[in-house]
Amino acid sequence: MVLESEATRSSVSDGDAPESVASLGTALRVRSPAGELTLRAPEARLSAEASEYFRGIYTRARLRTSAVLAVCSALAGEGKTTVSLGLAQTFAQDFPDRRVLVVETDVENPTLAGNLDLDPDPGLIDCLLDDRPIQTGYRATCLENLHLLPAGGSIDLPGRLLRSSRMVAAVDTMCQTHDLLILDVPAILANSDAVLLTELVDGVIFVVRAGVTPMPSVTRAIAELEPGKLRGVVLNGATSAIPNWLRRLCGL
Amino acid sequence: MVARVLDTFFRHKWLILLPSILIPVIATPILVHLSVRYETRAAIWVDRPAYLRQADDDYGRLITPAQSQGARLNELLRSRTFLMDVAAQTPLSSEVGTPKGEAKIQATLEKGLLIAPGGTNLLVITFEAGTPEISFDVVTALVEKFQENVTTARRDQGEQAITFYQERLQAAEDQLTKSHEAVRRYVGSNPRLSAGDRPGAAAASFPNRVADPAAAATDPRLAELGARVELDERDVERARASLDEARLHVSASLQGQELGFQLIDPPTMPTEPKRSMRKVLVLPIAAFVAGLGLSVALLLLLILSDRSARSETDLAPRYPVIAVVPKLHFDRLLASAESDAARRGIGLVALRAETASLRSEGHGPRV
Repeated sequence: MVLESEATRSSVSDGDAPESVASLGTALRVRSPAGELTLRAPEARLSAEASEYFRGIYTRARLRTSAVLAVCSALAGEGKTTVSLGLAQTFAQDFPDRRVLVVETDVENPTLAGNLDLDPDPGLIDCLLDDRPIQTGYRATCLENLHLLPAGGSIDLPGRLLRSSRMVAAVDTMCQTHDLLILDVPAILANSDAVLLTELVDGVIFVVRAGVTPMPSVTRAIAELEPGKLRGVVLNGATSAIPNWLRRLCGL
Repeated sequence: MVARVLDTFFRHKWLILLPSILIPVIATPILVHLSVRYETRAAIWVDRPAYLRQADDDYGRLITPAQSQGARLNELLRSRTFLMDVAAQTPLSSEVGTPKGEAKIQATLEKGLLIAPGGTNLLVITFEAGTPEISFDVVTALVEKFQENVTTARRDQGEQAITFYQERLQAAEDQLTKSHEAVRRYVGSNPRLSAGDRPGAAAASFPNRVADPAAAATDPRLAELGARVELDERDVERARASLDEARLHVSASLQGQELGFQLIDPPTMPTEPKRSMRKVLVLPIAAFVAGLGLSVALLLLLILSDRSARSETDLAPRYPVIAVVPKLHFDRLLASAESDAARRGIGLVALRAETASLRSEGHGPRV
């Protein structure tokens, strides 16, 4: 593993980012001589400000230390994976004795492996397809109590596997190995598997991309969920263009 | 709602403000340039023909000659023939002949022409146009055509008046002859009043025909006949005077010197453009107001077209909002990484090699 370069470290620590900016992981700019991105594990933690947002999510969602949670949205690209990972990492940081697993179930559009430079194989689909132990797909992270399970390689009709009893058995197995299971499920209006997957969980956190997701889509997607399972809605990427002085002046 | 309006405004502030800035900046110089006008003025002294004055009715007494001729000119301008005759003598002549062009001519004249009495007899014609040539030519042609029209009308009127007064004079003279005959017969039938065979008695006027004026003064019938003769004589004189005046006007008209139409101030080619300070001030404000209106419309359009959930208030009444996560920025160095950076920035990186390494060191997942 290559250590963070001094130049990068200084540029971040010098405060290039504005004060209001939530810097997520100062070691991100580390680049190996081979040009491969990597991180220094001990520093790869959420900033206090960013953690607080995710801490608020699991607190208000009344998340127990042991639960199966689905993070879903109406449409693709609303920040489900970001919220899932942030939530998982915050929870793992806050409860070091609890094991957390993030499972990518969007098998048609997997992004986790690509975004985190993980090898997609073996993933959830590979384990279900080959009937391999689900544990073989777990990926270790910088946090000992946090693991990831990417969707895996692409196959035809992956939805069939997600609807199969193997998936139910896999969730049971994952519940045994980890205390908190976070399913990163596909967009509800884009993939019918999503509704099926939410039936396997204790609660659903619904992510809405501020300024992007139309309200009718939100309404339609939430209506598809099993009543009582919605733990809460996370408005992601919310920004206000109103200047602070005006906000104070108008009491907004 | 206030928050949404403000948020939309600040989010698209340049787009929204663009019309308010751009329209005054672009439109003001154009409008100011277009508002440059050249003005030509002509003043005409007008009067009613003298032979018509004695026939003034109530209407004639209330309307001054300037008002009367102004109304006449305005009426003429409403006629297509007169308007096109005027336009044909100006640079607008190329527009004559097509409906579109004629409509343009009409609009140009209606917009720039002002006909106003400057007193009892003074009629002032003012015309504003974008070029000095059009301004000058239109007034010149207008005055010329109007004069032609007035002259023709007056000549016709004069000729009719001559005929009328000739007939009237003839009638008055006939009446006077009859009156004289009545006197002569009455005096002849009364020897006391008769002048006998004095030389020239037959041709003498009424008092001279009476031999004894004292006797005539006491004769009421003779007095009545005498008064009638005097009245008829005055009628003859008046008709003759009117006839002479009508002949004079017709004669003047034929020689091109209309007595009731004098061009006092002939039109002159304007050299300096006329700039209205009011327009120079008002036009930028009007342009700004128009731009502002467009900006407000744009803002409303953006608000109404945005059906997305933007704030907690959009969701909160119906759904439990447990967190509002702001857009998580990274330092500027990461700008190019965009969305990938968000996930990578979480710090959850486990390279295959590292995973293997961790596992070999016993730090892997407890499975």
